[in-house]
Parts: sequence; C-alpha cells; structure tokens
Amino acid sequence: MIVMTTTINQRALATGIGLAICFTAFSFRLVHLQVTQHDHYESIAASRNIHVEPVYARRGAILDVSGAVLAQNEPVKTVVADAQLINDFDKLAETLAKPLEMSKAAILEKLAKQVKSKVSGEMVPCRYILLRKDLSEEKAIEISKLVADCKGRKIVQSLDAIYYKQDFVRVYPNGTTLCHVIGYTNDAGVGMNGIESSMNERLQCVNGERNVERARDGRELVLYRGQDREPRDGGNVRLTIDLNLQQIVESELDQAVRQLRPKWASVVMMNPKTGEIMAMANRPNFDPNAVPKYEEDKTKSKANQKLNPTRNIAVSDQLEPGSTFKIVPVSAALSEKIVSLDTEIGTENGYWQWCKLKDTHAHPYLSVRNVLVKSSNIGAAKIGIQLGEQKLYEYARKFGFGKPTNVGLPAEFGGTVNPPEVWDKLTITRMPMGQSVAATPLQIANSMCTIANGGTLMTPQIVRDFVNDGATVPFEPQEKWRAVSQKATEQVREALMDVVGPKGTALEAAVPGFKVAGKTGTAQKKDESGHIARDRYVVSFSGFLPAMDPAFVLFVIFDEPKVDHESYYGGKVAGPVFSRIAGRAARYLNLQPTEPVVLPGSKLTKEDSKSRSRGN
Amino acid sequence: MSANRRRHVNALPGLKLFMFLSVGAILLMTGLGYVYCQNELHRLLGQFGTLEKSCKQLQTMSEVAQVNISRLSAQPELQKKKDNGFFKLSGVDPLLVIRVPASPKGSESDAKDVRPVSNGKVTP
Repeated sequence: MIVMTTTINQRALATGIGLAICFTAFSFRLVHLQVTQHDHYESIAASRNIHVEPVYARRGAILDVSGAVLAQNEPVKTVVADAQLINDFDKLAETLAKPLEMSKAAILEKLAKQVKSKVSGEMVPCRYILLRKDLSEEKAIEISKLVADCKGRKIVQSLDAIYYKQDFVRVYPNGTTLCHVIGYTNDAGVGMNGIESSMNERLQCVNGERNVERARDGRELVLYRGQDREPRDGGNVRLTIDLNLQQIVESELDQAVRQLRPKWASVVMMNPKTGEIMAMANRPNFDPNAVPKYEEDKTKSKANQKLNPTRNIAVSDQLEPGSTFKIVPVSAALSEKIVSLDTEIGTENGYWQWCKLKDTHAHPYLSVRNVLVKSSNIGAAKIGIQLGEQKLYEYARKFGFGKPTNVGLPAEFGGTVNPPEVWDKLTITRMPMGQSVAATPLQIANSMCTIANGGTLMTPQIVRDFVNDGATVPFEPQEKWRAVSQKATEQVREALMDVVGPKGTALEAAVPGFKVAGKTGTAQKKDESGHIARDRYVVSFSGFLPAMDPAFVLFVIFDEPKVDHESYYGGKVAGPVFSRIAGRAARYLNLQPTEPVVLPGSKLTKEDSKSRSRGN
Repeated sequence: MSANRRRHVNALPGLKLFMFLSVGAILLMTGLGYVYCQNELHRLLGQFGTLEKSCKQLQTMSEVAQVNISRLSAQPELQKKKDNGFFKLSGVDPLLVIRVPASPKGSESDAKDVRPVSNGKVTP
C-alpha cells in the first residue's frame, strides 16, 4: 500500500514538473513573442493591414478687398485603374471613353502599359495605371455608376477596378483679369508668380497623415484609427485691389490697346493716403488657368523680342519716366525755397544751345508753374541746375526712385538713379526732365502719390490682410518718410491742376465734374545703336482726382503706340485713357463732383450740382 | 462501515457554490458585455466612418459649388452671357441719378477709411 502511494506521488510529481516545464516553455515563448519581438511582429501585421492615408488640406484663397474670390481650389479626381481586376479591357475602354473625355484607343493603350519587373527584369503588364488627371467630381460620380454597371456585366471583378485619388487644381474665375498680380501655381501647387509666389508660405497648405487599419473586406476599422499628423490649411490673403475698379481699368485698357496697338501698356491706380494699390493691369497679359509657355527667340535682339506675357511690367520693367519726373526737381526746389511758383525761368525761346535742349513751344521766360504746365525741358533743367547735383539726387531718392518699393510682389525692380559721382556734365540738365534715370510704373505712380498726400512717401501696399484659422493679421499702411514739405506739394498740385486745363498739355485728361491734377510724360526711346529713335516713344500720364482731396492716383503708360507723328504726346495718347478710367472710377467710388457738370441738353449750374449732390 | 461511509458523504457547500456561480455569472456577463460593447463600438464607429465620408463628400461638393458660383458670377462669364443676349443692360439718364451723401460717421466704411498708419520712420 505504501509502495503504491509512493509510486502515485512520484508520478504526480513527475507530471507536475513536466507540466510546469511545458508551461514555463510556453510562457517564455509567449513573452518572447509578445514582449521581446513585439515591435517586429507588430510592424509585419501593420504592413499588411495598416495603411497611411493622406488627409488633404486646402491652399488658401486670394480675395479682393471686398472678399470676391480671385483664386481658389477646385477638388478634382485622378482616375486610376487596377488592371488585375479588369476582365474585359475592350468593353471597359468603350464604356469609359466618353466620361473620361478620351478616345477608346488612348484608354486601351494606357491599359496595355508594361513595366520592367524588378524580379525577373522582363517587361510585365502594369497593375496600377493612371488613366486621367484633373477629372471633375461630377464626371467621377458618373464613372462610378458606369463601373458598378460593368461589375454587373462581369467586365470588372470589383468596384475597385477603377478608383480615385483626391486632388486639387487652382482656379482663377476671372481669367485674365489681374493675372500679373495674382500670378499662378505650378503642378505641385507652389506659387510661381505674383501673390501666389510672394505669399506662398502663407497660402501653402500641408497635408495630414492618418494610419488606417482595414479588415479583410477592405472596410476601415475606425476603432484602430490613429492620426499621425493634422492637416494644416493655408490662410486666405485679401488684397487691396478692388475687382470692380480693376475691371474698369482692364476694359478701358483693352479698348486703348485695340486702338493704339502699343508694344506694351500698364496702368496703376493707388490710394495716395495709404499707398494701397487699387488696380494694376498690364498688356500683354495671360490666362492663369492656362499659362502660356514663353521662350526667348535667340535669333532676335532684345528690343525685338516678343514680350513675356507673364511679366508684371508695372513692377519688373524700368523705363525713363520722361516729363512725369519733373514734379521731383520742381517740388524739391520749392521745398528748399530756392524758387517760388511765380519765379521766372529763362527758357531760351525753346532751344538751349549750351546743352542742346529743346522745348515743344518757344517761350523766352516761363514761371515755375508754367514750367510744369507747358512741360518745359529747358525750364526743368535750369531748376535742376539751381537745385544742384547732390540735392537733385537726394530728392530723387526721397521720392522713392532707385530702390524697390517693397510692395510685396515678386521680381520687383528698383529702377536706376546713379549717384552724382558718376554723372557727366549734361546729366544735371537731363535728369530733371526724366532722362538719365529709370523707374518702374509703380515708382512713378508712387511719386505722384507723394504729391497727392502732402509730401509723404508711402510704401505701396498690395495685401490688405491675411486670415488663418479665423484670426486676421492686418497689413498696415506704412509711411516711409517725408519727401518734401506740405507747402511745396500744395504749390505743385496747383500747377498740376493747370496741366489739365486749357493752357496745359493734357486737356484730354480732364474728367467732367472734377478738378484733375496731373503730369504728362513723353520719353523718346533709344534704338539698338544707342541713339534716340525718332519714331519710338513711351507716353504716359500720371494724375489724381479730386485734386484737392485725392481719392486715387492713376498712372497710364503706353510703349510705342501706333499714332501719327503729331499725336505721340502723353497728353494726347494717355490723357484720354486716364480721363475714361478716372471718370468711371469716380462714379463707382461715388465721389461727389467738385465742379459743375454740364450735361448734353441741360444747363446745370454749380449750385444745381451742389444741391443735387445733397440729394435735394 | 456504514457509519464510516455516512461520515464520508460530502455535504454540499451551498453558500460557496452560490458564490462561485454568482462570481462565474458576473464574470460571464462582464465578458459578454465587453464583447457586446466592443461590437457596438465597431458598429457605431463604422457608422461614424460612413458619416465622416459623407461629410467629406458634402464638403467636396460644397467646394465644387463655390467654385462654380465664383466662376459663373465672374465678370468674363457675365460678359459672355451679356454678349449672348442672356441679359441686357439699359442705360440710366444721368439727370435721374441722385448722389447719396457720404455715409454718416462711425459707419463701417468710415471705420475702414480711418486705418492706423504705422509711423516707423526710416531714412531714404
């Protein structure tokens, strides 16, 4: 009995030990698998079931001053085919040809695409094939219905035979309007020109990422979803541009370009008090929805090159400003109290032998006021000489010439104002009339803003504010410095008002109902040999209204307009365009007329005009 | 012998058995509840995923609609419609135009006009 009990106990002990060893071994294996090798097996499992899916963010929109959309994103689809899930290529191609807007042959050619196998090195059929990019959402829905129908007819094995990837394209609803300011983006969504480029960092979005685990049937297991990175939408940029004013400018500029057929043309409209750009247009222009490819013709000289339509001439091209620059020496001389508005200047009866300068009209003497009104080159040269080289140079710089304005547009050119050390003897006579100096249309417009606002040079501003996540970051107007005294600007303004009068050079620039102050510019161009060309001019007009309390400054310029030899002056060519734009802009801005408006068939007095403006 | 046998008959520990069954039932219910909750969680999150997908589709459709609105209300499109005779503009006699005086102080437009100007001066 005792022996039997001992045997049972030994067996039980042996079994217990055996089981203990066994369970210990299993436990060790379990710990090895679950703890030591956890990461390894988890990554294997993850690679089979967990996928990283993008969470799409949106690039910010560009808006005009009142919130109208200038550039935005449109969701589109990229269509991809899984060749392994397609039973009948021919029938599928036939079904999808119409909604994909492709020929059946083109689809079949894509579906038959072959790639080199990494394993065997042989050409094998490609499994995933990109059929079409930038397909609209409506078309994608239509295709999904057709694929479901194809599944029923056993043309495809599964609905996944055709699948979609989300994508976005940049849309510019206003087409060519404001194209140079807005710019465009490349295929990767990076800004390449205009605000799209200069504000790219603020507009740019960053896609997020999410780890998604899927069941065997492809269903997402939301419980095991992990988000690795939040998407970050780009901010919206609101410009200072008013789309309605821009359209006034564009339509008038189009009409002028059709008439005058210039090589290029540019218009800049600014608020002189804040430096905000209200409108900016150039010709030639382009449609940012379909950016043209530009290549320089190397067989042609620089002057004969076809212009790049994507170039923003208003900030990227420099030219001699011509007589519009005369406001600089005159206001400088008035500010320095070297002359007064009535000081008489000897104008050599229209030809100054010493420096070979000519005026359009012969006068023995002209007052400083009339130097501007008659646009006398000799008078301006003599004022420049009285001012002195150093002062003339300093004032040109004070008016913002010779350095970029920092408007916030890419490829801005600073213009050229050489220091007196490199001037020749004649430069002091040429610079006051706008030669030997080069400026961008924006700089010329901004110099006129300085006169219009009482002598302060403002930083031109194109961005009003930036909105991101509901927070608004305003871009405040910035004064640069005082360029000339307020009294000097008042005197210059008085003279500029006479320019747009019966005795001035720009009667055509007058706007009914308003006093306009402005200055014409007619600059001769040089030919390839560097000599002055007889029939090539750059004509411009820079002005503001209402003259006593300016609402806007408008600068209009045409390069080589096709007009007869008698009419190549700034007042005759650019003046009427200024008048039409300014008149329509004044009506749009609801400016109160300051002068009596005589309408055809009516005898309206100033009092009538005032009473009407009061609403009586 | 019979007395011994009678002595070895195990008495049924009713209380312990009841407690054992109760704990077992609680554990069973907890386990089943856990599984049920897990299933519900999966089902609801599945619905959540479907709703999320619908929301995303709606957002996409809304974005497409916004693009279409801005495209159709843009000036080039309106001009095209005007040229096609979809609508026409009729002129207003300038004598009939009455200019409304400037908006009173404190209005939104005034608030926009009076914008701060930073005075950080720099030298030319």
